[in-house]
Amino acid sequence: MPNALEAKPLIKPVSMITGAAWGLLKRPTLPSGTNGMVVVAAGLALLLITVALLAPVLAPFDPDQQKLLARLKPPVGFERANLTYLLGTDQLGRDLLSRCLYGLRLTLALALLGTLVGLVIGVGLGLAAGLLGGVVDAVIMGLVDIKLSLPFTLVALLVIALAGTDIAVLIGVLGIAYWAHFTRLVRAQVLSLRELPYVEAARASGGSGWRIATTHMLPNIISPILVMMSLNFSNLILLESSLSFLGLGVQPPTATLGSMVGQGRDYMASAPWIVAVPALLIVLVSLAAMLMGDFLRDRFDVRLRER
Amino acid sequence: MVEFLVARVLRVVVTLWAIISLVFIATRLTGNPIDFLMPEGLDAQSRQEMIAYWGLDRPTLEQYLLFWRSLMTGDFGLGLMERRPVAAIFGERLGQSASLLLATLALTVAVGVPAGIAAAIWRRSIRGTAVLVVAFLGYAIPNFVLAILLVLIFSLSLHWLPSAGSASLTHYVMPTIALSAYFVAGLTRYTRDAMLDVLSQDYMRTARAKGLSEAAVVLRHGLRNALIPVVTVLGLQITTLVSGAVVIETVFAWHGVGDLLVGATLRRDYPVLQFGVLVVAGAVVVVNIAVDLAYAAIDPRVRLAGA
Repeated sequence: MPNALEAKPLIKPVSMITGAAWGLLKRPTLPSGTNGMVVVAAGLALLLITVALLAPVLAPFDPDQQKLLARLKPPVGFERANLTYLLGTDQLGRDLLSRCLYGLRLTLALALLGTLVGLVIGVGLGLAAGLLGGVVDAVIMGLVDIKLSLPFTLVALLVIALAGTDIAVLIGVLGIAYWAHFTRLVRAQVLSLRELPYVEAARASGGSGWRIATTHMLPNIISPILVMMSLNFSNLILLESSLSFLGLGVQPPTATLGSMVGQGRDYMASAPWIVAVPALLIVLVSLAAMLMGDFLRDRFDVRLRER
Repeated sequence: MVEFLVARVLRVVVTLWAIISLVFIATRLTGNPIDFLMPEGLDAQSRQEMIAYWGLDRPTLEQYLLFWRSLMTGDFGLGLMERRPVAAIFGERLGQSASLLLATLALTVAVGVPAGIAAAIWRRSIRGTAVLVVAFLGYAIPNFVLAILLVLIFSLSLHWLPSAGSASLTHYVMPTIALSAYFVAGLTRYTRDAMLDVLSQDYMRTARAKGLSEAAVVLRHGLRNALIPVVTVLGLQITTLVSGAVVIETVFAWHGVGDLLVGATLRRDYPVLQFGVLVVAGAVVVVNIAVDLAYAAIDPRVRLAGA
């Protein structure tokens, strides 16, 4: 049971404008009694990653291949279903199973790339702010405050309107979605590590700032960073799906799970499976990613709390 | 208090200035803004005229001041799709968005707070676990997927609710639920944690000892103290709420600002997008500070914790 001290950070004004950070760090989790769920989630996550990696082997058809004679086939188990197309086909006769496999693969790849971009930007700035201090620290933390005080969707819309709907732009957008969380985390860790005797010793023996950062500090803050990465990864899956759903992410004919839901909306009345299949897959992916993120956070007992 | 106020307001001013300047820089970095402001296929002479009209042939500093002037006068030109001033297009939609956000907030509080109290009181029973599991699901299912699933069930299968538009009260049901789920889940969790903290306090034992009924203890002594962090958290989530509204408005063809902005991005209606981003970002920052100040007024510990 949480004690009174644990609740204190809730009333810190420094974190007032950082709603996103709280949403990320203190999200609803399953009660601790449900550890069996972790096994299920890990299994599900493994399964999803495996089928995503094996998409070219597992997919029965080319995901973008159109077959006008096989349009709007429902999934197996419904009337008029065709056993060739296990999950049915869309309005252009494309096999939904194949599109889901490739879409899942692309969604996971984009979320991973976005996480890495955010990691590099965020950790770099966090190290700089924590180690250099002074004006650099003030400017970087000012940027963090601005970043966290804006609804990110607005930034994404602006960037996409200016730079176009390119996959590189999308990765960039995903990358700048959560850098500020890494920056906060790393800066806070650096500030506390900086006072420890071994860092002082490294500095006294003439280690440069870069050396202290990379060989003495980074290895010690790697586990909170990894946990933050997994939390961000699951958030980026949702962000990519939302953007692609709105038509602002991956462009047709290439499939991601979000774009399949977005494109299929026009056929919802006559062929609901076109939307329902990728939508339910997104739910599975999201559940697996969130449960794994929570599990890692609890497992490593990392204090991701802000200072 | 005065010092605290000044520090807060100063920070908002800096943030607003930075947002406005970043939008200005972004539009100049990515090419001549006239290409964004005007429809494609403009002939050379009109293009030249428009460049002169918007002052884009003048020195950068002067352009920057002109940008500020148009911001102050609200004159950001005509929307490319509807040939009307952007401020007018925007003004029409503001009310619709505001009412959706208010409905969402109301539903969030109406469900989230009681659910959190229930989860705290039932913390050792299966009912408490059930509340947390539902909260986790509400959190993990992306808002647009939930929206689509609601439409599939309640509009297309059961024909109970309209799937698009914002004309009548029944139109509010699904968008409000889809947008609230995430926040209900979060608030349930926060309220539960806050209640658990409070329930273990000495004054709760005193309240019971003096013979108050359990309901009176929980509601009068517990809830009142637990609500302090809860109020903060609601304010903190405003950025996430606005981001969510952008997506949900698009799904339900809600005649609001979010729908407008996504449409503007898709059609490269740059005048509308630029104005919208500035206004919404500004509003969010101002709401944040308002929550911040209100909170400081309620709870003196915030001021003590430092500005």
